[in-house]
Amino acid sequence: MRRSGEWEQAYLEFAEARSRQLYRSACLLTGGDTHLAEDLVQETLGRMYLVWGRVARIGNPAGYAQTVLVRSYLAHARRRSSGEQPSAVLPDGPGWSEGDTSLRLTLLDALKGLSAKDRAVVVLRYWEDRSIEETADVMHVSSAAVRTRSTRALARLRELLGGGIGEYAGR
Amino acid sequence: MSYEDEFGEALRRTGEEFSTDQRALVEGGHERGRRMVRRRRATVFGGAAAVVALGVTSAVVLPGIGGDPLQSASPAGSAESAQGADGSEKGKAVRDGESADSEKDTREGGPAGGHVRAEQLIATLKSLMPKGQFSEETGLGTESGAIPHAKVVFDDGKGKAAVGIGFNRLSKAEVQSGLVKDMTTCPDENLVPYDACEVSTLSDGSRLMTFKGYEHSSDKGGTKFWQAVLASPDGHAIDVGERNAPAEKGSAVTRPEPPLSMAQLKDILTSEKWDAVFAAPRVEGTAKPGSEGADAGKDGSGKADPGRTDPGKGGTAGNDAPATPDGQAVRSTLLALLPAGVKVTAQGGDGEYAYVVVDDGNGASMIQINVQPNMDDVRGELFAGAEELPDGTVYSWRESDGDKGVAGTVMWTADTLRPDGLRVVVSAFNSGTQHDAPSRKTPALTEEQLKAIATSAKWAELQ
Repeated sequence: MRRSGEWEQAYLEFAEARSRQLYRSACLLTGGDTHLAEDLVQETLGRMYLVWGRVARIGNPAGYAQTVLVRSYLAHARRRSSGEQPSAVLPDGPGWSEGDTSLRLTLLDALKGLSAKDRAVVVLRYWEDRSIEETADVMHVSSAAVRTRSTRALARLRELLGGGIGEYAGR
Repeated sequence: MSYEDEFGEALRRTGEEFSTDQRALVEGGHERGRRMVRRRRATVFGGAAAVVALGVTSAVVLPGIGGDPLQSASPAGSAESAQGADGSEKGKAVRDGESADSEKDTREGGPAGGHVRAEQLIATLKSLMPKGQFSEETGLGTESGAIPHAKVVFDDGKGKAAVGIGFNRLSKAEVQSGLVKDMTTCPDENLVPYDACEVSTLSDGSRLMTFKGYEHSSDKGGTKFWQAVLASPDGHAIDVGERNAPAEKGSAVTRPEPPLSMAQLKDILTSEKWDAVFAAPRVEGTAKPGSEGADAGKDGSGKADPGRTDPGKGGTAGNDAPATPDGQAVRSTLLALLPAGVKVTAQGGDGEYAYVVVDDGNGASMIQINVQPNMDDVRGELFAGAEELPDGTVYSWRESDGDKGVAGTVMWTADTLRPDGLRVVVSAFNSGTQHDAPSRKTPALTEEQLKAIATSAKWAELQ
């Protein structure tokens, strides 16, 4: 039994501990749209606050938050009546750190070529290391649908990225 | 390395390059959370527009912190016990079978100085509904200082269904924060699956949302929950809700759909008969524990409740009333309720939390307690299938290994939730602290003794 007075502090500690990972997930989900990513993370942390007392008791709030993030992203994508608008120019801004620019641009560009759901599958499977079943659960779809999307997305990425991905991975 | 592995590695490298001002993220998220809590509290029936349902766990999100009269629909005679601690009639809840026959009193404000009593609210609600059988009538009047509401179980011959209505006066700050729009905006369908949701603006500028969804479920299925919310630009909000079951939890679905159509719900909401509710004088500082408005300082830390941004200024009925039990009072009450013959060797706590360490001669045993008002929202999660005591309190007993990972720890917990939302949970350990090795085989108090503490009438007197 947690003392109720610690509730808020525990939430803030959780949010501070998880915000980096959530932000990175969001950046991948949005194909590098750091402003949207920030918005999604704040929405996720807000929803975590709403359910905090119960999630903390249920266990694995980190996994729960990741699920909230992905669903928030999918909800956002669905709301956009214009659908996906792949952009040739990647957004730039404070969200970027110095690093391997070429890999980042290449990969994000390729991710942006995927549909929102395919991108969510890819991020869940290969960034968050979720199983097919877990991914299906997060996305409210069947395992078979996840397999199909996963295979299709990888094929598409391979097409977009060419054979060059190994160079990055091998560095 | 397979292509999958190569891609995974490249994705990780890419993702790890992103960084931002985490503090701003946390602050922004925290503020949004506070806003969501505030928004959800605004409707008595849980606020479909703000309910977030996720499939990760069952019943993750429960109705508003303010409590859900439908959810707490309880058997006759076990309705809210908002009666004043002094035994007065102030804030008296109506129970099934009591007089509820004076519709005109509602319009005239009744005999209680402009107040609209619970039985009047119930009578008016019934008068606006189709013909049928009514039972389990409960409510809370404007004089209570809490959020006034009425609920009934209605049967038009096709099955019993819970129907309830609640009234909320939003504070100026809440109106300015956009709460009127928030509470009448359809939820995100990906997060809250529903069958239908519409928003319209009435001629006087009020917003009306009608919502056909489901109870607590991330997927469509189970008990249906239909709701209409009407909010005026100046912050008068009414919400009416219905289910296709006589209660939110613990009762089977009795009919395919709730009994009233959206048009009927709208007619109920827009009736002029409710004007008296908003015209009633505001009651300061009289909310009782568990009443909908009495949720300030719920975290027991002395700070404002997470949902409150404007403590002390909230105009919502009852919001000004502190409901946090006093720390010293919780501890002294716990001490008074301990069985004779145990020696208290340490004590502490603050806010709604207190603990004592007792020794009956066989080793130290810590007893801790939380006295938490407004906990109706965990009813489904923590008390599903729990034993219901004669007064309507639900009682749950748990034996666990403790929650601090100390080997050999035994933790016994008597958890209770009263009809008015007051949760009293008492735990006993077989050690003097949660972090020490066990000092004895079992805690010093028995289940019966812990249950007696948790169900004591004294806790209701603390508020």
